[in-house]
Amino acid sequence: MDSIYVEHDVAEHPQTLRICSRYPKARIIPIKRHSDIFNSRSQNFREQKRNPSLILARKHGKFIHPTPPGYHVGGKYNYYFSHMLNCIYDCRYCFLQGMYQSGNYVVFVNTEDFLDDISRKTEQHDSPSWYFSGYDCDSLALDPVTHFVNDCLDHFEQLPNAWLELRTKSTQIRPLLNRPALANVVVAYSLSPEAIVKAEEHGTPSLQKRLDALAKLQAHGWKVGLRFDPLLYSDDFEELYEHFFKQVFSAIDMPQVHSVSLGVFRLPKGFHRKLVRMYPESKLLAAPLNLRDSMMTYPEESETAMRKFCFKQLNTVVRDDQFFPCS
Amino acid sequence: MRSFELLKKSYTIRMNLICIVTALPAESRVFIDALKLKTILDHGWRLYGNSEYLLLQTGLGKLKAAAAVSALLHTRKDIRAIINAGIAGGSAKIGDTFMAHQVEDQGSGEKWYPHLPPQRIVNSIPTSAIETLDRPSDGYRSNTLFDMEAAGIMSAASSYLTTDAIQFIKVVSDTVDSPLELFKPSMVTTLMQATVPIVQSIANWLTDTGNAQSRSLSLLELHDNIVATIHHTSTEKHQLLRLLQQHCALTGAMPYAPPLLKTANASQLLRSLRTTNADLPLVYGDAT
Repeated sequence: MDSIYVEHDVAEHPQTLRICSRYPKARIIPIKRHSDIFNSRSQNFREQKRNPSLILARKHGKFIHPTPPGYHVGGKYNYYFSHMLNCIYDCRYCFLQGMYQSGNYVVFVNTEDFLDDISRKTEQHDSPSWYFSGYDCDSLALDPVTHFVNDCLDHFEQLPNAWLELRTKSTQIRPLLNRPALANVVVAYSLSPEAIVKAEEHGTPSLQKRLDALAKLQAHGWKVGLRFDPLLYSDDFEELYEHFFKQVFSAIDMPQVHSVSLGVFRLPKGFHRKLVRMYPESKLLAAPLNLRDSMMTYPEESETAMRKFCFKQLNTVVRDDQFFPCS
Repeated sequence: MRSFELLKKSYTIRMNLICIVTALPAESRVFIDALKLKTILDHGWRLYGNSEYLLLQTGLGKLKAAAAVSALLHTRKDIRAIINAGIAGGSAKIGDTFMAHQVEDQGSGEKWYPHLPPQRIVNSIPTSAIETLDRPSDGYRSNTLFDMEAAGIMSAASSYLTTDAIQFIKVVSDTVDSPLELFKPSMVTTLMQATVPIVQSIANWLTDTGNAQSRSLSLLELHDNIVATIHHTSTEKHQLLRLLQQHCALTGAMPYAPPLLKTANASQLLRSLRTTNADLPLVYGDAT
């Protein structure tokens, strides 16, 4: 990390001091608010992805938010939170590219405020509430820097009425393997066929490495989830995904999987327009896409066929109580 | 005035020129000599250039700097980046060189943050905030340099370029111990020598990143060739570009040009390309 921007407000926060000490040669640049730099106009997202800066900030206001409809794995009360904005990976389909002006990473160092808010929210509910990490970032990918996972797990260990989902593509699982598994935590991996990983999920671990990480976590006793989202259209979709599902089913103890979800590629119209400007020659964006319910997605006929095929494949090994198709 | 003439709008313009911006003749001299720049324009603002660089000498003050940069960037679409090089007041030692990590206009309080190049590119030179003043001052502060142009340049250039492509290199010329009244203009050329290799390193980095991100030139040339041959409305030009891009994405190659150039009109051409693209296979590698 070449440049670290630090809000005045968190300059002496223990997390800030620890992260900065990890990069003794980085330029440390004081700033007032992270939004001054992260949200400013005229940034070059592509260049910042190649040469990202880290922004250490304090999160203010609301720490947790209700998830969008359909974003759940069976819980009644569902929330997401983002201890970080942006992702170290460079997936062509990712909505973060459309949402943010900047390719830099914001890390909110006041983890304690997130965790306090989670406790308060949990106490308000009589049945278990779910907290999804990894909505605006990858939950594990930058953990060697943020140490977020351990702090989070320590907290959820004391909150039996709350569930945590860590969603990731990362193989940074050491903090999980270094402690006993928690009954109320699910480590969920986003998975795609290897040909799609290579073409569209730049900088991410290969499918095989993700499956190896999943197998290790399962062997250690962690509950794992499989997220087949987004499904991407290909003329040989059935062949591609049939082979992929076989690979997954043979690597994972499927009856022990906590949950499986599935969703087809979709993007808000404005985000799609921005992505086309950034990657005009991307195969993903050259596919036929229609505007439906203010989302750019595949024609209904293709989507239905993709879903139907996947349901059939999953139906052979996934129980109804494990399966949560995204709307 | 050739270099300030509006270039014909084309998708194939290469944004490959690096424009150095200075305020004073003494700041310009080292670049004119080192880069062998020739005079392009010598009334109003001064403009020098060669095949890789332009040098715009704006005169003193943020208004002159903003006006000159805005006029140049409005007319020259081939400029990849602006690098402002000049002297500044500060609390560091005379001759110390800094890049700007923040530019602030003292008058309005507005702030900008250039996206800095990797440290290996600039030999890890230190960075500083720059505050742009309306008139010279001796109110030196630690961690801040004072100049009179940076905010004007940033304000104007950020309407045309992204923040990675607007950089500032400043050499300390006056300090608390050696304030402005002791400053000898003859020192400027000597002080500015240190900025030349840094400007060149940044220019190379900007050119490399620009090349890495540039669209396929042959595709854009084909686009320009088609619209020069067959009349297209603005909307049709955009549609044509998108269809050519989709064709490249799906096949990894350009469509065969001769039949396209023989098409009777734009709508027929677009229809034909749409049909062709719809029939192209979309596959990701080998399923196995």
